[in-house]
Amino acid sequence: MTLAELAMAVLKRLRDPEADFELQALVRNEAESLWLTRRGQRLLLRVLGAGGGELGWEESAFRDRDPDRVFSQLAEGIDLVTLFVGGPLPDELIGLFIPDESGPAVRYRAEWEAWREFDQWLAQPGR
Amino acid sequence: MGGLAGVRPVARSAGTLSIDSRGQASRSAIASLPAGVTDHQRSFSAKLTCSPRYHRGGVAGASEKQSKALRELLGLRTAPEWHRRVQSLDRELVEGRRPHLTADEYEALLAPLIRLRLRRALMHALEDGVVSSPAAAQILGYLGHAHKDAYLEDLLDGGLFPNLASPDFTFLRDIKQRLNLDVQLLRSAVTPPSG
Repeated sequence: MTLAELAMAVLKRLRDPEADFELQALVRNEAESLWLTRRGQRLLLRVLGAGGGELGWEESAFRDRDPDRVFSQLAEGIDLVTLFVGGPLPDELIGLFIPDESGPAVRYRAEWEAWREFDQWLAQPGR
Repeated sequence: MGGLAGVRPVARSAGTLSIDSRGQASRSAIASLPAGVTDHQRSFSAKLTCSPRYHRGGVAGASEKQSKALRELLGLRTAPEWHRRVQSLDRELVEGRRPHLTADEYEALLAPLIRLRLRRALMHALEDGVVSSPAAAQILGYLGHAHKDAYLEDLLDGGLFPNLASPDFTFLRDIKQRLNLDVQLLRSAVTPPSG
């Protein structure tokens, strides 16, 4: 799954083709985390260091991976996926997403404890 | 990074605190928090906190572009900050309750907890319009193209950033004072080991 395909699947699930979102993946035994941000038409993949600094791909622990397919490639190693969205949310997603104030604006957050679970959620048909 | 006066890359060995295999944190910056705060300083800190836009005496505020970039960067928490215990300790401090923690928790959770609280304080400062343009540039320059050992809390380290003493960083010194109170409170709340 490429980043564009992943973003498309998220938008489909949110039933909002223009939604902005942020997706964080924590990888087992790894202090660095992956962030995929969608702002407008732009997708941005970032690696966050242990202390919060943004790392270049080549300096990161993921440098040997294909950035466009990094989530699929790391799938088994991902043990927490967090998706942040601004809302409004479709009715069926209220409950899965909880209000989150960790960012610059109030947003909603949902978590999955494995990539597989997140992938299954993505694959579910929206009502 | 041109124009980032005062950014001084320093090679150093940051101590490591781990809460799990993912969690690391900078000891040096936490250690740079003042060792003690007197009542007079507390009162001064409180006054600073209450003064709206106190540093706007000829100091340029962050540009719209800087604010946006900073807002995005500050929104990205590190893994240890999501730790449930870190979040519950943070909540206790926010609500003015006295936290209880063990010595092991103090050792392991202090750095991500301070990082989380610093992150929020910086976001509030940004929303209040008290982050100066040079400070925004410095924070973005340090964290935006970071090396592996860069920690958000390094921003409090006067050794790394000597210009922390300048008027551009008044808001950050104020934040540092408040975080120092947090550290003192947490230290005093540690339950001594039994036996």
